[in-house]
Amino acid sequence: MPELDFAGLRQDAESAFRPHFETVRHRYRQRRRRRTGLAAVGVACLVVASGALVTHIGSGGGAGPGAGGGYVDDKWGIQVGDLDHLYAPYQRCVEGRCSGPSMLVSSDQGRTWRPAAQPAPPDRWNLIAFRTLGPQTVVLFGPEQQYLVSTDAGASWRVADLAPAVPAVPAGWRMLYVQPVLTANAPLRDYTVLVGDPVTGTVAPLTRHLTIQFGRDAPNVPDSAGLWVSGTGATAVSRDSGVTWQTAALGTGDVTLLGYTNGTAYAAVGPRDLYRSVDNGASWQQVTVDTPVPANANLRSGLVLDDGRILVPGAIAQGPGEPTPTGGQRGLFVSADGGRTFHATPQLPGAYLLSRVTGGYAAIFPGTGIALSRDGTTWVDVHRPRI
Amino acid sequence: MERREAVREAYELYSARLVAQAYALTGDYAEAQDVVHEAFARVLAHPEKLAAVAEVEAWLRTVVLNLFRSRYRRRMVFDRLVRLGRVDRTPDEVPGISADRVILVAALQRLPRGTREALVLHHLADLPVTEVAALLHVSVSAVKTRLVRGRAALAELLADPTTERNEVRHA
Repeated sequence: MPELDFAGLRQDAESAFRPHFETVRHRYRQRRRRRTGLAAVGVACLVVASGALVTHIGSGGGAGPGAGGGYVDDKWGIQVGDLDHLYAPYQRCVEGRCSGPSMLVSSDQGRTWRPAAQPAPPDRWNLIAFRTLGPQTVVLFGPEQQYLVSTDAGASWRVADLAPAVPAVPAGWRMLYVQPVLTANAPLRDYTVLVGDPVTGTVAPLTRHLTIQFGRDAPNVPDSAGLWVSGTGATAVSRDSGVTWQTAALGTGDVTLLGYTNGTAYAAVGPRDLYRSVDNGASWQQVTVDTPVPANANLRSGLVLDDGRILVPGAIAQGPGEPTPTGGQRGLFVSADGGRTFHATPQLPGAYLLSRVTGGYAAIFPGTGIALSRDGTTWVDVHRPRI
Repeated sequence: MERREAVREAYELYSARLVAQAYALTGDYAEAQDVVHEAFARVLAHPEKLAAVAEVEAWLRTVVLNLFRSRYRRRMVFDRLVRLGRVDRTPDEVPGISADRVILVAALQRLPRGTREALVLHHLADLPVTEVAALLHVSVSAVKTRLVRGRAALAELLADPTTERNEVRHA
């Protein structure tokens, strides 16, 4: 019987939450306004009943998504097309039913934002995943086989069906998304690898399905390294553009591919264990870490730069003698020797995830924005736009 | 103002845990946050109730649970179709939550509400069986039955008996 990792679920779900009491205050004020409005309706109903006024009284409620009682689902934060083109997708929801999606777009590294054209998705469509195929090509995946695509940074959208399956990734195309093949009983080990054309926004599945448990794509591995997918206790690599895949085992937990540089791939298994492969993912060896990242750092949030440095967000002391915070992520741990030793730096306080993007790297700060860098050394803050 | 400040303090202390539990109940992280924020908004409207409570977190958990149940009642038909597998509710990505845990939450949505509640309260909220029984207004034996059956059902949904480690596959 597989382990049911409730403890890990609790840790992840708690860590992903960023408290924002102002949201509670705003909701409280909304409730108070609605009650005042309903009280007025109640008075009007009494007047109607008395025959003094004949007017159709609306319900006062029945709000659609985004009106009183709803919330904004903006968990995707800021998504990066490249260092200039940024996207902030969101949905307006009421009790889990969402309309949209909507999006704010920037073409100047986040200095200014504008609303994108409103996509017109099919009925009962919900935004499941957001991907950028190119600087100005974005793809929105929903629960069905159709997707929304824009090739002009959100100025226009179209609803598209997946193109016919291709045996290999066509020239110029990129790996886009690893989508579970859902059946009624066993949705968790068969995956379709979707690939896309950054120019036209055409998306097609590879002919061969991939078998790996809890598979997902690996955005931190550069396109030049081939196609990489990680799963639970395994990775899968294709060196022939998706015609065949080679699966290798490592560890027993969730695998995150941290990057690939100078012929070496790095992966984190769970939050603490670092692995390395020097044969393009055919086999993995655990790295003997002489000075590991502390318990409050999470290797899975880390990234391998092109110059070989490994960056891991974590909580560090803010000054001499100051105790290390027990929660949150306040700085970076950096390794320049392949992960054997790490030293703390106060860079990027509050970042909780690092990612490779077209043209450089991004650090994610949930709730506040991101930071962008061309070289992994100098970072520029981008504040989250107001929705 | 002091009582409202107490609500804020309770929010800072307990909201993350409550969101994690609500996420497992609802299957939607954004909705889980909304449920918890709605719960605290209601408490903020009557802060004197928080002051009168001995076990603050337990009381807040009850508020969240009741909100979840009222929303569940409103969309019971849809949730039944999801449980039967007749509607594919593709688990959406949640930044910061690894894929296997997202799938665990998706599998939880395939269970009956009562079973899901028992599993979340016992395994995520770390409540002993007796407290879970009191909160759900069922017997201890009923809770134990729900836990056993729920874990077995989850294991079946999540099992991958055909995968062998160390096997090199050419798909």
